[in-house]
Amino acid sequence: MKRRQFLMASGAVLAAPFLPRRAYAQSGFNWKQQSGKTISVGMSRHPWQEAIEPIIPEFQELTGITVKLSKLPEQQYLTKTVADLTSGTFSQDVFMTQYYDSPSYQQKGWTKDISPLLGNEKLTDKAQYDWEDFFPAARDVAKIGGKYTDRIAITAEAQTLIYRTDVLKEKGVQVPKTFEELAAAAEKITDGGLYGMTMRGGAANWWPFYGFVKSFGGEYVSRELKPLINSTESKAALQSYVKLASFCPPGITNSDWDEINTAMLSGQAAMFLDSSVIYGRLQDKERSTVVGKVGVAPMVAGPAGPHGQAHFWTISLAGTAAEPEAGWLFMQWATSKATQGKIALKGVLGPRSSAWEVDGLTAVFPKEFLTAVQASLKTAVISPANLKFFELMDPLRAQVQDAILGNTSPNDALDKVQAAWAKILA
Amino acid sequence: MLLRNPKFAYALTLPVTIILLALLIYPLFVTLKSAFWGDNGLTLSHFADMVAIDGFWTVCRNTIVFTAGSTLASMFLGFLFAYSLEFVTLGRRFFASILIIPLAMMPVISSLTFNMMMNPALGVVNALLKEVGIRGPLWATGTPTALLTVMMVDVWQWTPFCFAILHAGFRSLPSDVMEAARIDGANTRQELFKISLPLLRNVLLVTLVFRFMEAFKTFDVIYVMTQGGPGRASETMVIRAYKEAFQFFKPETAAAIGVVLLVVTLISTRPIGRALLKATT
Repeated sequence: MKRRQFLMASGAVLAAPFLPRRAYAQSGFNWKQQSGKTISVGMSRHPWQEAIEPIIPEFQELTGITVKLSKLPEQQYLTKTVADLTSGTFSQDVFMTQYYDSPSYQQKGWTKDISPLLGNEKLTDKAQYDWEDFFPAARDVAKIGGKYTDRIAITAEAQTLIYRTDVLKEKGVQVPKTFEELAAAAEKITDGGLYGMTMRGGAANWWPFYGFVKSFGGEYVSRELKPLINSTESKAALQSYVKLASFCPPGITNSDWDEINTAMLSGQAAMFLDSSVIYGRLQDKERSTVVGKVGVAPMVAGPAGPHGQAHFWTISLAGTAAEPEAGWLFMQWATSKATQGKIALKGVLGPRSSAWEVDGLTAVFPKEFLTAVQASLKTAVISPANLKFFELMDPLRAQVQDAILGNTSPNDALDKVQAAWAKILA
Repeated sequence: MLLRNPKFAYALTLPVTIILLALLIYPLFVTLKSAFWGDNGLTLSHFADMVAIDGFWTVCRNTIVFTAGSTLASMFLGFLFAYSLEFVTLGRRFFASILIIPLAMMPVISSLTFNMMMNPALGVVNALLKEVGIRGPLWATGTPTALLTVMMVDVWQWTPFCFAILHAGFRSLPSDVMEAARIDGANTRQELFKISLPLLRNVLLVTLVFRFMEAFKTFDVIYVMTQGGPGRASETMVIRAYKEAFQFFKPETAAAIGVVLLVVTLISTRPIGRALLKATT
């Protein structure tokens, strides 16, 4: 008896370390099927990248795959990725992508079709992965290219109002709920070195501007690619945009994502109507000068309601990937419930319902933030993707800049954009 | 050995020739094919597309203003520095080294640094101007000043180039001729205009042609500081070609722009080339 008990006890003790690994394998899925391979992953500097990079060693241990990560600031990442893809020297297996490039990337075969990988029992742990857990809009984004499924959404961001609680209290300003209230608040706050707002006026100003246009009831192009930008509603949207721009620090036409982040982090501006992703950074003691003084409210409403621009960064498998199966395992792990839950706890919310309900989330994000962003996401819109996307955005960007600088009236500006778009889409 | 055996000399240059041909001729061929070949064979439709792009004439005008302005400004300043250095007796080498430094810096680095310094809200330039009571302009972010700002940075980067060549030119002027002129009673102005400049004619022409070609090709400064904005205020043909190729995915239009740039360069540098071949009096 004693010997049997001893043998059973020692058997249990020896087996204990293997139990967790057995648990992962209990679902029948073999994470180590591509062990020994090496994959190259390209990422843009982004809160998502900052959250996932420290846990990549967990992936390497789980699968035995080595990950070579390369990262660049956003503007440079986008430039280099396109340049490398165009010249045929692109060397990443897995890379972060923007969904509005999807039609042209698919046309050129720069991304791989991942539906066979998603549907393959051997390569995808379907039960654990749970495709239905993704928000409907995120599932749509996966196929937005039109030809095949080539991307998985990794972040869920929405245009949200973020403001300095101390400044608004000091100036006796209520949290704005409409565009008019926002302009009035910005005017009251702007004084000396402090500016009411910070906005994008640079190369990517079309992003937040789409939220304005939809909230005023306008549209960029119709489904059939007919330009609709010079409607009265869109013109009203540009007038509002230009008015708010006058309460921003000078130099707005060079101001893009990095600059508006800096303006908020350094306390130069009091309000921000752009992507919710900035919130984690604002509460980070190492980067922010305004920790604890930040409030969040849903997107402000225009005549047609509050329709902020939503965005989902995505991750894709390169068309020329040397190790597509190993790359897919990385994508699956990075977008799994477990990993996105961990990333959510670090301050970056994902496009999965489970990531918004993970235990301990309210310790990271105040309830105010979660309600505000969820409210914004519910009514948010995404810019339609099409083959000529950036060619269309360029004249829009140029005219919005001219309108902000006062070189042209908002009405004339959008008429010119309409004419340019008619030529491009003809 | 080489004089007696010309075939050996040719053989020695063969590897370099092959590499240069591969790097020059093949891309040139691909560009020409992109520019002139359409769905139905030879076509000029890509050039028609090029002229029809949004803001084409503004872009052309910006290119001319930028190239001419940058070239003339840096030639003038380079000449000024080189000529002034002739009168410096103590520390000539020291000043020459300092004046060359901008050329040694990577253009992207200096462009990024200037961009930060000239940020209208946060940059050091406007902060200093505020101290003196002047309200600083919008520099790279304002429509009238954007092109001027990138030209200024480009001149800062390339004046050392003109200076270096002209300095060498001045140093190589025959001292006996200069002394003879001084003995004959020439004053400084006559020395400069009647003797130094004519002797420096070829050096000036070479500097001009290289500086012009470089200014025409400028990409880094403009892309880093303004990306062609605001609006189209600082967009040149080269920036536009980049956007057409890499953002709008229209390599044929970019190739058309490339061909036009090549033709303009060849036409503008030909008179200089002829002038160089003419014997100096």
